[in-house]
Amino acid sequence: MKRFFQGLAALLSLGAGLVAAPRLAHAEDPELNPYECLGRYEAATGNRTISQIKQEIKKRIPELDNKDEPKSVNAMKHCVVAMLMSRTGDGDAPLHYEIAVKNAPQEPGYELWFANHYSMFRGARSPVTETAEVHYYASLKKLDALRASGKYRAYHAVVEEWTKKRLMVLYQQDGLHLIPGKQYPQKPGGLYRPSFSVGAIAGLSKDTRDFNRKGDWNEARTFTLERQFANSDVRAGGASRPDPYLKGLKPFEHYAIPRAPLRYHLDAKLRYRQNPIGALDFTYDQSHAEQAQITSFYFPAGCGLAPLCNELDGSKNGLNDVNVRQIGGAYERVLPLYPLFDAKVGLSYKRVHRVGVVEFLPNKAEDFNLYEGKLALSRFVGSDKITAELGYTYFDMPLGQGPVAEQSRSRHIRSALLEYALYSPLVLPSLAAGEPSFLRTPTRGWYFYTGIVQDDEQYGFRTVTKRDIFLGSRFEGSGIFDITLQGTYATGKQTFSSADTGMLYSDPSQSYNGFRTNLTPQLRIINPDAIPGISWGFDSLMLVFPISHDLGLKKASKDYENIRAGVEMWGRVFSPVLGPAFLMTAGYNYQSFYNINNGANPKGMHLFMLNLRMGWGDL
Amino acid sequence: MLHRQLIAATACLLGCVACGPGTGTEGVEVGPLQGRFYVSDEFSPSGHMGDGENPGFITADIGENCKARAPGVGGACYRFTYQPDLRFGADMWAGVYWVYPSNDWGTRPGRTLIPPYKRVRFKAAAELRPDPSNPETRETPRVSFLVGGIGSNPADPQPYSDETIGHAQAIKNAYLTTEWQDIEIDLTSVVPATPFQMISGFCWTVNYQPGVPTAQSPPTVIYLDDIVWDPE
Repeated sequence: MKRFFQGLAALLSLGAGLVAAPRLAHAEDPELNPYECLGRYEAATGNRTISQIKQEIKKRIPELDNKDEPKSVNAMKHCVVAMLMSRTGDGDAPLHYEIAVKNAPQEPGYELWFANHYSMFRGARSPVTETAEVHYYASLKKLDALRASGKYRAYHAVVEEWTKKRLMVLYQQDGLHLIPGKQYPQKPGGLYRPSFSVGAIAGLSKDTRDFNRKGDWNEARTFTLERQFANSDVRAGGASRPDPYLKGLKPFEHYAIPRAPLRYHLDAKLRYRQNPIGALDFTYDQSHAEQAQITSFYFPAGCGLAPLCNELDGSKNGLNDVNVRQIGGAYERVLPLYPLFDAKVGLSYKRVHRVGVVEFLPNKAEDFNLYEGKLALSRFVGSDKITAELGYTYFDMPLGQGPVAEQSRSRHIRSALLEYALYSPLVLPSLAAGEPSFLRTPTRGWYFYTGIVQDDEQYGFRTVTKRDIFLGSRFEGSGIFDITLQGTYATGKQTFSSADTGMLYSDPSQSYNGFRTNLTPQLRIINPDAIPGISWGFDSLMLVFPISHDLGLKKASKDYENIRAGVEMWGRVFSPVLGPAFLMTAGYNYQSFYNINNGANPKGMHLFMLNLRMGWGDL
Repeated sequence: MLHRQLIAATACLLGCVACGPGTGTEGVEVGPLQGRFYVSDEFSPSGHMGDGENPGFITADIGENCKARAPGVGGACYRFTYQPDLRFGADMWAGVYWVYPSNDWGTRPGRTLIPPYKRVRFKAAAELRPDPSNPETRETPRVSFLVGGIGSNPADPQPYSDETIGHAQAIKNAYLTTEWQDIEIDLTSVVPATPFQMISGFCWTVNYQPGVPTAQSPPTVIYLDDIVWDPE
């Protein structure tokens, strides 16, 4: 009974307080810690389904119309509703953030949450940088004003740390900012200041993948098509080669084709960023691959019968180096086009100078233009997000040598991807209570995606087509564990058309059909969202265990079946000095081509890669 | 409803990528050959023979390192350098066929030609090769030129062949000098009256026999230009 009266008294006093509050409001609004908004949001979402959160929003919206309550209280309520709407993918979220900011015009915390909406929830493949910037810099301005008026509270230091860190994350792809404004620590007046930054990637690898850094992403297919071409009647399969080579490839030549050249590359960019225009890049890339390209497909493993087979210029063991230099420009911007979608537009142009990929002519230089366009559209479907992505790359190659019908060269790479990101809390098994149980658990997202990449390279009347159709899923848990599983149906074929009639034929001797399985578990050793502010040391660290298997789906595709597994480390460091983000990846893999052997053991290769990036790209 | 939209969007995206950019004939005129044409426009000098079957013994320069071109010529000009294989049992001869498609020895169809064609005319020259170590080798290289012959070796039958009447038509053992010579191969007796297929458009061969080369022997360097199939 005593407890009942105590409870009743507490309720009455709370009611009295709420009734009294509006009267006080007209004198001076109470100062509210903006983290109360975050606390209430977390209380309203904890262990709840998305439909329950939507119910919560419905329940809270009528309460927003109370004109008698202090504006700061009303701002906080709008902030909670806005955050809940961000979580459920409601397009009205910005409206409520705006009211929160309007009703608490001095509070920087609401600007931070508003900016987070554009940098963490909205966007298509990238944040809506230009809109998010507006609110982050508004937050910095308000923090300065509070400091000047003596109203800077302890919690504002946390708001300031997060604002600056979020800006740094927003600019992590820019690299090192060269002039103050957007340079860390960012200044309140930096919003409309032009920014110049430099970014760079330096990489070193010894790998079977990515031979020309674009398109050759499936080494089982690459090696199979090389072997088939070398073995065709227009090369070693039709030539009377000297003993011991003779007509047709020999087993030692099959064995030699899989190779892991040592490669290094340096990509540099100068980025000009201006709100509201977006980011404009001037780029310079240089790469070198040691003994990567087969010089003559008559002798794909080289010809060791000197002086019978005089080595062609630059060729050792039948291989030659490849050097590529690219100079160009690029533009990128995310456009918030809600209520329809967010759209990311990317365009780039590069002038390519390439040496070493023309057969028989290892010193032959090619100069051509490379155009690339990307479009990503993204929108929320409830709390989930759907993203469609289209890409197109065109290599405007110079005419080759030979008869007119064989001179035409070009390459088109087209891609499309559709991703469905499930952000709803999931009922997942848990051992948290000490025994197996199932709990509704918020995750970072469960992604389902499918897509296609098609690469058509034209050599006169011949076209080599490589196509990948893939389906995959990536689960990013709330804890430290993420996993990706992807299956890819990969094909390669060669078609040719008659110079007399234009009729198209396919060459059955030049085709590949395979299935690749990728499994990539990863452990998040250091969580990037856990640390406010900037200090030396890893801001984010992941341990990744990539495993892949290539299965040939027909006899001619089986030679280079392989299994590959390894360990990689991905880490991010923010520099407290001027603030560029450094991203490091290092890894070791072992790849076994178990269907080919040197007479005793299957072919196995130790592979490694090391990349250091300043700016440029997501972790 | 949502699922249907998703499936439709997926099919649309995948479908638009899967449609190829073309058949590989983009920007190239398709159709049989009729009237005068330059051999270099339609056939490629990729059929290396004899010592030339092995890499390094024949070097072809196409459109570069040519001899000064005569006025009014067309097509590509060529310089071929043949360094004979000196090993015991080597062929001691070499040659190059201009073929379409490149490297085709009869496994794939060539080009259709619509008659009439009366001659193949071209310009040829060479560098002199005095060889004090072997007086039998003449200073002026002896070169043969021919049209046809691909795929017609009974010992090595192929699905496709040059459809000339008879095996081939040749100018045998022409002695080339440092000056351009105008040479013609008469086609009147080898070209059929109806459309016919040709894998090859032209060919040259050099034979060192009986002047057997030595290690000191200079290479044979020949120049060719303005190779034309002519209906007149």
